[in-house]
Amino acid sequence: MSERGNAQPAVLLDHVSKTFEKRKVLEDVSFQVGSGEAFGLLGRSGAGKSVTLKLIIGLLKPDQGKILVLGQEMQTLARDKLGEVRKKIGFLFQDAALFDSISVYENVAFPLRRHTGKSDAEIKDIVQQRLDDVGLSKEGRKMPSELSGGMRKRAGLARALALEPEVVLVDEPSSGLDHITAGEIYDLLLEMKQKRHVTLIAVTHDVAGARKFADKFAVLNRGRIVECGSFQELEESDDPVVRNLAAGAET
Amino acid sequence: MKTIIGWVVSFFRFAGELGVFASRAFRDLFRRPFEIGETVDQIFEAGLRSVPLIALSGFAFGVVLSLQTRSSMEQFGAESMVPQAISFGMFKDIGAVITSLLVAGRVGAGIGAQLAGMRVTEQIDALEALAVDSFKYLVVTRITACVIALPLLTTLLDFSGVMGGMISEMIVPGGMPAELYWRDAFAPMGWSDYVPSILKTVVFGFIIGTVSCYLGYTATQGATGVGRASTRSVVYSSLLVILSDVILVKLIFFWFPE
Repeated sequence: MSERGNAQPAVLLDHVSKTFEKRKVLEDVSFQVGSGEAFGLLGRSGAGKSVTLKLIIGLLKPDQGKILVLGQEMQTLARDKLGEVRKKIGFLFQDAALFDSISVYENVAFPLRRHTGKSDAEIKDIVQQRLDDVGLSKEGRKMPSELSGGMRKRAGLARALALEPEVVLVDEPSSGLDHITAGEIYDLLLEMKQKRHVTLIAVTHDVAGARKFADKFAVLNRGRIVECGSFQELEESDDPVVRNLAAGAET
Repeated sequence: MKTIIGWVVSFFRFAGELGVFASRAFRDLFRRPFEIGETVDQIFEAGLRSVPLIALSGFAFGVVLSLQTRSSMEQFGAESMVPQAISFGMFKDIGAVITSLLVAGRVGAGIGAQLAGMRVTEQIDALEALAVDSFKYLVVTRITACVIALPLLTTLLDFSGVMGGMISEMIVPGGMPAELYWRDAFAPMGWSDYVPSILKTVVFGFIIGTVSCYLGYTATQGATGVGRASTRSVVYSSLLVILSDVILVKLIFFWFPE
């Protein structure tokens, strides 16, 4: 939970449940993430981690419970208002979800063209800056299909950061990547947290990787939060699933 | 028995969902933002890029129609009616249906596959996450493009067909000169022969765009879903075009009596 006591959390989930065709994916999930915190939502595949992220950004609606992002209750917002909140959220999808019919440069420029009145020259500067930040300064002209998995993730991160969001959601930052490339992505997330002071929520099954950037953790198991706290609290948990996850990070 | 009931239920579910999807598309057409840039891109994609296929097909069809019509007309000594037969055939009905089937094959399959691909690779979710109304951006623009492109492409195919017939007539033994052919082809035609058929293609464009977008936008099951959306887009939209033509022809006879 957030340690910032009275300050309004950037993201809050309050007794959230979600069911898909009789299959309960999330059950009574509650946690909050303070502004500027980095939060790691851990769990095995199929635990409901990605669904949680999609609920936070309003791509899915909860069956029960409440989700607040930057003080706004996502499931009750009209489309226009929802769009305004989404502009303050960056989302890095598991496979980056780059638009494959346009170049990397145009992918990063896309949200800027849509939502800012900036000139082409200004957009060019911003895009170049974002691509520099993720180490893709020379790849802007390439099409997404020409990029490796790690480069796609970087490009996706550059696009997620284009509008300078206050909250960044990251879905499985290390999936499909080798150990070294995954480490580079984690370093980028850590750098982003330190430089931009964004609120970061990353879902992953890679506990060792999440330790590199996250201040707080929650463990999802079969749709329920079974532990929430610092990494030390995970290690000392009574729940064997949590202890196993924490032990995995040590090895 | 269970299979038949299941099939009937599936059919009505599909029809109901398609109806809701179409009405949402129609409603969103008049809602801001109008996505003019993307609509123009899609008109280019659906319309301009179909021009070679449509023009060539129309031309070839005109040649075949001319050869077939001439061989029949010769038996009655009515070769001079060939230009009229071709122009009436093309402009009144065949042109609209052929163009729609060609567009269903080229554009419908493309839309179905593209949107399904975007769905299964989370690109549609990414659009939403970037605060873009994916339905307006992807669906409304493509349906609008089909509605605008189809009448224009049909007109092109009609003229290409008449042109093909003319070239054929100029070449075959006993054919007629171009000037005479052209005059005879259009002399008996009026707007009432052209306009109803063209209005019909607006409906066909809406059908092709809506069916293809629906199947692509709601696709599931990864790569298999992409292939299925593409195939079904062609099959369903072609079938609906042909079936709706029966109703529309009836309506045309009612509103534009000969």
